[in-house]
Amino acid sequence: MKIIAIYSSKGGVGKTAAAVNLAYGSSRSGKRTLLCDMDPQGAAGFYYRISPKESFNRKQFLKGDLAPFIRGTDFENLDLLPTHFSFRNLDIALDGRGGATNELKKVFACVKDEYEVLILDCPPNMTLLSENIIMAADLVVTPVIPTTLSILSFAQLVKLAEKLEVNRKKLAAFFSMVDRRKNMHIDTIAKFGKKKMFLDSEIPSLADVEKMGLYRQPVAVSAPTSSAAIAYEKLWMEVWRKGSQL
Amino acid sequence: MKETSKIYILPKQMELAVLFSGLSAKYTVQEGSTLVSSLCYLDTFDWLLYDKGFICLRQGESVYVLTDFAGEFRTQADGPVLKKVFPQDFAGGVLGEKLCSVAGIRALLPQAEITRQSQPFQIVNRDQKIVLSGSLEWNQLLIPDGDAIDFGGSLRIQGVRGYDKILALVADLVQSHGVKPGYSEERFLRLALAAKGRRPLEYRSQFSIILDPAESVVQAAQKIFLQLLVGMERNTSGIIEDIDSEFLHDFRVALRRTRSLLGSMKNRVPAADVGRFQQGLQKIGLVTGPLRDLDVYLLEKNRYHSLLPEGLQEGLSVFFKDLARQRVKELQRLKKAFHSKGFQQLLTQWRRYVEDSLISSASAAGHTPCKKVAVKAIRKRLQGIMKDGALIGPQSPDIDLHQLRIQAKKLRYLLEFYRSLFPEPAMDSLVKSLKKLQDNLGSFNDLSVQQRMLAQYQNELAGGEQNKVIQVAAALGGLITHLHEEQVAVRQKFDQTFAQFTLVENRNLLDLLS
Repeated sequence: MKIIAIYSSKGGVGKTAAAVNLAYGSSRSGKRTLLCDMDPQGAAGFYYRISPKESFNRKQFLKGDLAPFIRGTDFENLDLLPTHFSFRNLDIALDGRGGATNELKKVFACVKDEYEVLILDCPPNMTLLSENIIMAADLVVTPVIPTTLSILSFAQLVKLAEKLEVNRKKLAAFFSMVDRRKNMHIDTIAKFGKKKMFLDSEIPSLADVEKMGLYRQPVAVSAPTSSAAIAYEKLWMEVWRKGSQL
Repeated sequence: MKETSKIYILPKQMELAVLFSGLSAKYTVQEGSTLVSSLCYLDTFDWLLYDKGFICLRQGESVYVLTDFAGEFRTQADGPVLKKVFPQDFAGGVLGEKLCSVAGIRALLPQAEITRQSQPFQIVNRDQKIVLSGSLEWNQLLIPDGDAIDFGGSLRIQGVRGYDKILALVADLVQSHGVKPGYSEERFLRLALAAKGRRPLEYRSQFSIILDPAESVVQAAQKIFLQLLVGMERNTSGIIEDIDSEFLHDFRVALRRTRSLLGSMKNRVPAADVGRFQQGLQKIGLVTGPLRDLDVYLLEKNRYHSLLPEGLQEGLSVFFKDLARQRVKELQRLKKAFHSKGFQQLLTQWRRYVEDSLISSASAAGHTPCKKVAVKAIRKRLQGIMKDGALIGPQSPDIDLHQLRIQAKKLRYLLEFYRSLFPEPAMDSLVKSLKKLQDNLGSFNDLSVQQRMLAQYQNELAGGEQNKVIQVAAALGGLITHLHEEQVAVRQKFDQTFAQFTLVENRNLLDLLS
């Protein structure tokens, strides 16, 4: 099972949209896929119309008892583990376990035989949870809006990875919410896009992506021929190519 | 893993609205559009799938479903759009692998057809999330005058992971409407066949006959000959149409069994009759032999290729292309022989003889009770094998093993003919250990025949492009080396296999032939 974390310490960069659409792309390519919603806001679950079971909480999650709480989406090969409000304190709970950075990897061991791909939709912060995510993932994919602040948070991720002594190859970035009418976006892409860590695919800022909240479906389902759907499909293929090489 | 799908029998056509009436307002049933598809049940000529409890069906042109009788195992895959399908035509997957393991190298043939009307549906919750899906199916057999016979239907519901409540709710609901769980695919197949006056397992490759210990040996022989003759007749059209290699194989096995039994009838029926038919049947053996030999090599094609390195593959391909060309010619020759007056007459005369003259022309010895004859024949053959086998040592010539193989084969035929006269457990264990010995001797013989044939082919290589000749010769040389190594290994196992055989046999023999 390949664990692909969609992570950024910055909010509003298109993490959940990426996680939801990449998970769909993975399942469409025939891989048994689990999307794990780790963000207590529960947006990934909302997009797939799935709420958590009442008995589910942080405690069950950290015990690694995931199977009873996984729910099937409307799509073949794609299941979802919904988040829970109590996930907001996941890092405190991890800290209570001695602050180890490999706890999350142990949690996901229980689903490794059932799924080929696990996609994590991560909350925007930089805590012990983030460290656990980076350690557990085979590939950390980070959306970067072509703006200064977003680039800064990407630089922070690289620094964190260095601190954790993880292979740099494990990090991948893509430009998200790109608006080619903005000079700043064009300039930032020109400056940073050639860096090794950046993928070729980019996700434009498009109404179809925003409308996901309305349709509560991946864009490839609500607007199968849209440029947004095509952009995510390309992104998935590139992410998988990179992920499967690691 | 929890059970997530359920199947119910629908004795009459029912609307979804009726089936789900009383469902909580939290849920909505969404109906998809009805599909009508023709459904074709496939099985091998000898019903290998049905025999092992499987049903294979083709929906439309290329969707294949494999299921067990209970509906607990069910897998679906896209397959070839072909009239004649082989298990090997499916590129892996659960369905392909299962078909290969059960049906082997036999073709899957259309056995019966029905028309299935399916109404897919889904149940969604307040978030419009699908929490259950399913289909309502109705099956009919369309008959030529434009009418249809109703076979009944099924309700199939498929739960979604993590939404167990609704699955239980719907299960209770449909049962409250009098619908019972059950799976009917096997029944639909039987009904569709019955409409054509047929039934599953109407032909099986395995020989099986029930004899009465008191009946005379010629009476028993009559029954056995007739069953073997039916086997030959039923396989003839498959050979002519060239459906798969096993039609000819089964035909030849029935022929050999017939000849073996006929050979043992010498002092029981007039020698002239035995001689006349032995001659005719031997001719058929000779006419069908070359095609079977080619089939054996062609069936080994993938294995042979896997034995050789990349550099020798090309030469081997040339060799196999040549065999395939030879096979076309041999098949034509065989078809001509089968269509000939002589062949037709021989089978007709043989049937007439077995039915009308075999018993009436029998000598006193022919009227001995069959059990008595069976005991004597089996004991004699078994003792012969034990004696000859014990004399075989590491230095014994190949011919000794070859002769032992023939003796073992004759014993096997005897056991098959007279199986019903003896207690089943003793017979089963005797046959089992004999089979192991036969496998060892058979492999030894096959490997030796194959090496000889390849060497002969190699010697006769001439003409054509010099390069090609060298390529083929090199490939065959490589192959012969491999086969020789295999043969040495098989030979080394003989002592152990034979020791095992005598060990079990000594015990069984006493029980069986007392």
